[in-house]
Amino acid sequence: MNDMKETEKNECDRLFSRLPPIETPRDLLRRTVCLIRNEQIRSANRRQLALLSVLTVLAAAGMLHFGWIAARDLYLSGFPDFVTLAFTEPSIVLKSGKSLLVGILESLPGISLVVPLAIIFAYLESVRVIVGKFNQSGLTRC
Amino acid sequence: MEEITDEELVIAYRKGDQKSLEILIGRYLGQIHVFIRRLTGNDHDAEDIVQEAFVKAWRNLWRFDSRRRFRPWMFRIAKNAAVDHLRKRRTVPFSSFEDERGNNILADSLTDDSPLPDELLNRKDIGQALAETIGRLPITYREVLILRHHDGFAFGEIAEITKCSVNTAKSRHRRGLAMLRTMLCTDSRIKGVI
Repeated sequence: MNDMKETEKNECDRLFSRLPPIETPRDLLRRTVCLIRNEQIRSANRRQLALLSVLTVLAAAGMLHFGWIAARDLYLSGFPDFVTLAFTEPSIVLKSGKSLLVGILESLPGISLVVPLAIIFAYLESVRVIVGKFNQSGLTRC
Repeated sequence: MEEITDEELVIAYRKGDQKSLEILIGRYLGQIHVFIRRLTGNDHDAEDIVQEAFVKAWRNLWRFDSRRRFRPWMFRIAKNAAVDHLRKRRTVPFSSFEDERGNNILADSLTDDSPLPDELLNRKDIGQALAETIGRLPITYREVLILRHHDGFAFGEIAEITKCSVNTAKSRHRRGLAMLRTMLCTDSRIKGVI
């Protein structure tokens, strides 16, 4: 029984060996590798875009939160009064401009302002890095 | 020097070695191309499907279980890509003997298990007729016959590639062979000599 099966297999193998040969195109390997490389780039770009979207949402949320805190602290500080004074009483600016400037700067709510500024800086920096990676990853025609 | 196995190349690629992927593609491109070309019977389609298959393989490389063999896994992806491609086009019939519902009337009526006549095997011009006849077989039989007799897979591997049981693979092989034999013997180019 096994011998019969073996003979049949050999016969069929022999028959199939008579099929006309097929030549694989020479540049098919290059084209396939190129296509996969492009897919890898697209995939990396998609990941970068997803990361950028998440960063944008986080930055926007952070800006809203800390921006509101900064605005509130700014309103509660003496900063608006000093600025109003500087614009309404020009004589004071002329007389003691340096002290007024120091007063204005001291009245600024430092920490509350630094946080939103740091968020803006970090966000813009990550956009710069991601855009840079996009530019470097050139898709090629396969 | 001992050659790196396919499975080791997959592991190397996962660790970031891009070159391993290229070696792996280079190793299988020819085999897969010939397999797809025999399955579809069309050069242009075959090239598209091969590229599609390798892109799919690359996408799924992280899911590949490196304890299993890469070759049947790759052939399975290629076979699925080919079937999807043919289904999408549908202008290429799955078989000349299939009715509108996809049933095959001829295959069910074949029971002839007699060996292939020697005259048939010795015919010099059998190649082209055989290729055309294989192209007219239902795809389920065509793929099993090609995998078994052209690519040398065992039935267990064919079952894995075609996602069926070993018995189904064997039964498809038997029916496909019977159908091929009948079709070859009725081929007008060969008929006169056997």
